[in-house]
Amino acid sequence: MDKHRQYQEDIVSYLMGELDDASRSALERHLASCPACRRRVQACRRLLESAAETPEIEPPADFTQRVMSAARAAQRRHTYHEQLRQAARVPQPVDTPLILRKTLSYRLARLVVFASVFIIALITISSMFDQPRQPNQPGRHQPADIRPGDDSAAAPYDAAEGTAVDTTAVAAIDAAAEPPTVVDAPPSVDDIASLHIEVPPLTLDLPPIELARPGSAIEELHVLRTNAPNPAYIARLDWRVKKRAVGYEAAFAIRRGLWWLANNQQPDGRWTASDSLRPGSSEIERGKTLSDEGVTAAALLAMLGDGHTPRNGSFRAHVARGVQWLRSRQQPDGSIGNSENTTPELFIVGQALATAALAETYGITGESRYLASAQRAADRLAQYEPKIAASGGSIARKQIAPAALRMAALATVRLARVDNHEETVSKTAKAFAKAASSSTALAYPLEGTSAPPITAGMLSMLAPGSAPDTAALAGEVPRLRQHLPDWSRNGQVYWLCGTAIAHKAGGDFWQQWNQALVQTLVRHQQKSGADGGSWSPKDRDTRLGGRVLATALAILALETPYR
Amino acid sequence: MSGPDSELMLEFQRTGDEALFEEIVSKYQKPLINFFYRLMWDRTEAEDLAQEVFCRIFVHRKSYEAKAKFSTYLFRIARNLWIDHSRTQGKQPHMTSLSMPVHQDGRGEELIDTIPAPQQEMPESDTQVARRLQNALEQLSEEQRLVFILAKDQKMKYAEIADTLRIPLGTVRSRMHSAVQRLQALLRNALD
Repeated sequence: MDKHRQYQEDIVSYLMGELDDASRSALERHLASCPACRRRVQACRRLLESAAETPEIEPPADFTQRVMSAARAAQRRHTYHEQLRQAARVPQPVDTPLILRKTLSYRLARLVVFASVFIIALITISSMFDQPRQPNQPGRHQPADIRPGDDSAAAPYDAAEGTAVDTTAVAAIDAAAEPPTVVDAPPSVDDIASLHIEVPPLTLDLPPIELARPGSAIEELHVLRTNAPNPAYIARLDWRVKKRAVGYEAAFAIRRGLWWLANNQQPDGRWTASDSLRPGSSEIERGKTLSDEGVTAAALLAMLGDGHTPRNGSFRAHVARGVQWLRSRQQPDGSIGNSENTTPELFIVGQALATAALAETYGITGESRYLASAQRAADRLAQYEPKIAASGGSIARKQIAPAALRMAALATVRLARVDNHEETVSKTAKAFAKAASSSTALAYPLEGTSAPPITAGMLSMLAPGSAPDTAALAGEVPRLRQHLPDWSRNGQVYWLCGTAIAHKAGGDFWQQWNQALVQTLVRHQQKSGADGGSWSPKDRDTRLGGRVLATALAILALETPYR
Repeated sequence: MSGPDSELMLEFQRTGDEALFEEIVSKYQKPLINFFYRLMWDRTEAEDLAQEVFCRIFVHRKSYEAKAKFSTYLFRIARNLWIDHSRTQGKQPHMTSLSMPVHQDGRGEELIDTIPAPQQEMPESDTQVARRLQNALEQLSEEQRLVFILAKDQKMKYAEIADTLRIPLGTVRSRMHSAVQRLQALLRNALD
């Protein structure tokens, strides 16, 4: 190689201090006599210095805590998977003979043996049936017919001779040889008339859908396949289960709704209420709409509810972008978005929805990157203390919805196995239950519709994953039965709350409610145009989030059976 | 050979004392986040990947062997994770919204085109040259970029880089040389 060229190649290593002494001395001697290489050294030095000027970013103050929290969660998940794998592995004693060990060849050999036995058995059985029937075999007596309950009809008869035979001789033969063979001689009309056939009633008793049951085989399979930490989300990840749970019509409506949401996502990943609000609407004051964070979270919950995650599902790109935007809006104190841009109550509603969306994202994916965000959002949400004391008439009505959503979001956090605020959830639920039983019943009026107010009893049952309170259900179901979902009379918030309760109640009432819900929503889903697939907001609270929130809530109500 | 951080890691491996691991995290969080940041220019992604590296080390601590410096082990995991991440991102479909405007030639405007350019995330104190350097770095090949970042930002010796990336020393030298040449060509006007 040209000596000059060799020196040029050494210049970068020289500046980086990576040349040995001999090479460095040789290069420095060359530089003293070569202006071109000196210029090159200057240029390379300038470049490397400017590269050093590129500023570094500082890690967040709580990064170590976030890492430790995520690492512990990852360790728990890893240990759980290891246990499952160990349980799935069949131990083989060392002293087992090689031929008996369950090696691959052993399994193949066993398969071949079983297959051979099965084929031989099949051939044998089929040959028995294929053997031509020989009714005229000598010595075989064949009764003409057999009537149930009429033993005398089995009159001995020698088919070969066509004559009656001695009954005692036949009895002797029967005793000594085989039992008489019944043949299908064509029955007469009288015989058919006298036949009494027991037909079992036809019932379509389908087995119950196998949902998330801790320790079940389906859970273990799911955990091994997807690495997800939580079996609570299995149902939504399997389209067959989903279709069976909600039926074709509802599944189609959900799909169309999700497509509309996907098409109305902003380029940066958010959904916004402002685009879908009616311009100049007198009902909604400016600046008092639900924040973009809240609307985005609601749309994400609808997508997550149908099993779309940042990595899987048709809408994975939309979910990934939405979750990323939501996380980018998180403040150091855990708030999602800026609390100063909206009313305190609407901020808590947005924070609750965002917390639930982040917790579900972590719950389904099991990815540690979402854990810290969900945890911080939940911690911030738990700090909010709503005034829901029902005694003394000091009920802060405008705090009812934030309090209920906060309780439901923190319960979602628990379901996702994020370190939760169990005490806060149960305290709120108890406060609602107490308010429901008190004389001044706490109720959340739904303005803009003729729906009955949502009572404290209903709200106390909204926490996902909680066991249904039988007494509270018994109190609410008759009232809900009087007000089934109806497009002209009630709206999205009522449908969502009512569906959660009806699903918990189960039985005939659930069937009745769900049928009305699906009928209403399918009939009033926009069929075509820019709004095709969406629903318009029906109550005042839903209008705060525009068409996006209305569509998300309608989808969430429809997804209830498998969410 | 292995250094004090390896001793710390081995101690954590033996005792399981989380305080020791916290010490490791505190020490390496900044270099690791900046390593990913230089590769992706996305702060959130960089923090996520750095967190994932620490999680992997925490969970698989039993498999750690003090054959080399701890930083070599750490950045090898980081490099593998980044490659996995790049492949996953590459597989993500570019979905186009039906409501987006359509160009004259019938081609839909891709959402990715409208996402803010990554340089917007850079600190305000950043210089113009550094911005251009960032753009130029993106035009290097993955191999060149890795070597350049490890050598320049992480101040690794060539031998360490060779160990981290599992490539010969000569390859590190030639990649560094070609990276600098390419950057010079791209930044000719800015540096003059």
